[in-house]
Amino acid sequence: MGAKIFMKLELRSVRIKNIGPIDDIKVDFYDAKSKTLPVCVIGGANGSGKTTVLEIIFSLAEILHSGKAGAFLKSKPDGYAQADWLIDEYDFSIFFGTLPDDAELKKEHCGIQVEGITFVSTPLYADLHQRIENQQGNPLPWRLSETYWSANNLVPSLIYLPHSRSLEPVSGQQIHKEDADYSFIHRFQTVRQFPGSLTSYLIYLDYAEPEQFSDVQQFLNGLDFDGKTFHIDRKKLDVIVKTANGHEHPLHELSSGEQNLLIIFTELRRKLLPGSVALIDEIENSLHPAYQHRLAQGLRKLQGEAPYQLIVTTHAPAFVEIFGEENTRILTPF
Amino acid sequence: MRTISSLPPELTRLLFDAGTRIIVLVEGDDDRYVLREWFGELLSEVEFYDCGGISNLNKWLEDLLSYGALKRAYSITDRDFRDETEVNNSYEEGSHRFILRRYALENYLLSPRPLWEVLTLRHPPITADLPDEQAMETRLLEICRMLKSVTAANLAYFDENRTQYQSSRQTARLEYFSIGHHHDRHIVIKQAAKQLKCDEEDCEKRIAEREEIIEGYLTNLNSAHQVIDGKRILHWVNNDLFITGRDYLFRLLTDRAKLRGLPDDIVIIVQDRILGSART
Repeated sequence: MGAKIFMKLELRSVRIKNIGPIDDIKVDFYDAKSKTLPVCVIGGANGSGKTTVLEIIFSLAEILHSGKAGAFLKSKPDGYAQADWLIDEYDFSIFFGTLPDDAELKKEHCGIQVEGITFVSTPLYADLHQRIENQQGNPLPWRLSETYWSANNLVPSLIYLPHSRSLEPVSGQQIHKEDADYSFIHRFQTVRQFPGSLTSYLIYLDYAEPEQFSDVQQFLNGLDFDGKTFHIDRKKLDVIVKTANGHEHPLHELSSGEQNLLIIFTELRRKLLPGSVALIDEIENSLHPAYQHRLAQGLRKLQGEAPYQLIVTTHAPAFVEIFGEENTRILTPF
Repeated sequence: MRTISSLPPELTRLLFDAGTRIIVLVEGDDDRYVLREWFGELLSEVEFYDCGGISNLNKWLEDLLSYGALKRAYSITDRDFRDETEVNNSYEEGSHRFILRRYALENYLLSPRPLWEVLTLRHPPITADLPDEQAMETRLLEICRMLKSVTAANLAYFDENRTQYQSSRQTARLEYFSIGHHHDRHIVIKQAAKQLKCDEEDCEKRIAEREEIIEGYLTNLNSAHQVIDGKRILHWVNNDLFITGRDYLFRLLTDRAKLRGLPDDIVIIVQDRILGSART
């Protein structure tokens, strides 16, 4: 057995027709030389469809994950969506809806045609789907074909951080070990909808995996929250923040901006695999311009450690400034 | 299907910031400042952008219109030395390029009444020299006359740029005299001769012809504002009368103009022509 190698997922474009505020657009995530953008900032006015773009990318990925469209797309039967991916050297389309006349699917594809709810796919889908199931701990009862990749190749993941991001207090019953170490798609949710919350994750680690917790604690303390440090209070069963002047408060009492920063960094750190794609909606949530720069620099640094494609939506000009106009796409009303 | 891909950097910044607002391009930062102050209550519908000069402005507007911003992109530019026909043509139905009826936006800040009111804030009081609005108007016209030769030389440059460079499509252009340049006629002629690459006698003739044209506008302040650059007038008003600082004077005049009622010319462009057309 050779060493495990992660494939490289690259989102090349997304086509959206008749969904939400969007009439018919194709957003390209590559440059003039056809090189995939490592970072893409999506801008546009409120209601221009920025979140819709991210929801659709995620919802289409659910088709690859489970053979079924995500809830977001299911509720849009009159619309059409298509994401074109480059997975290592293979072009691959995922689509949902009735194919428009001008639709151009890649030779390898999978998707759901709404008329008759028909699932269609080509061999590459079967390979990817089998690998994803294997990695998620649900091995399928047949041998991996290895037509496209060797058995050592692993599928990275798609991580989505929606605009609603906050930390909420947890009680003892809410502290869980995460059910699966790997999931092809991961959507951040607050503790009340999802047992594997950040707070619960930290408390669990402190009890069950002290070595890993030490790493995570070191990471958190290195985030430079103006001298704040993090530790677990086992009696109170809570993550405690100690401020530079010695005061202490629970994790969920961090300011909303600090929570945003903490959630983004820790979620990516715990879920991001090399070659993944991360989607962050309204990246600037509650962040002062200084923290916007800190976040962007941190995300870039993370790309140096584990290459991944980052797609964010924002209203904050700082992210255009930092990531560059050439990496920005504007959803204009015309 | 509309493809959303990479745009020129300046358009990306502009469209990112504008959102659904109407885009109005202006030449400089001062223009932007004045228009944002005057139309602050409309900034949810319209945003003014400083393009850093007329060349950028023309290019960006062209790009925006070709990109599809048909009802959302406009420009307001200085009149400079453009004639009445060219100015009037800019107001034709469906226009996206509006030319001010006065030489520059600063000319709209320099009406006798608000200027006199602002100057009375100065210490020591100005009322001994300029007892009223009428005296202020007379002084403004004197400043305009003082600037006649330098303005005539700039007009000669304007004509030269139009004939020589525009026809040959060369990019080199004769730069106008700097805002605070000495207004002495002999000095102006000497320097203009070098720029125009002619002898001083020929230069004097060319400038004299244009001084005569300008003189025709100096019969009253309203027409003087069409040919004498408001930036130059403002410089000398500050230099001779206000002293405290050009930027401070500029801000006070911007506020005072709003207080006394915005100029009809500008209100028509922004509210009627731009917002009115975009709303239909």
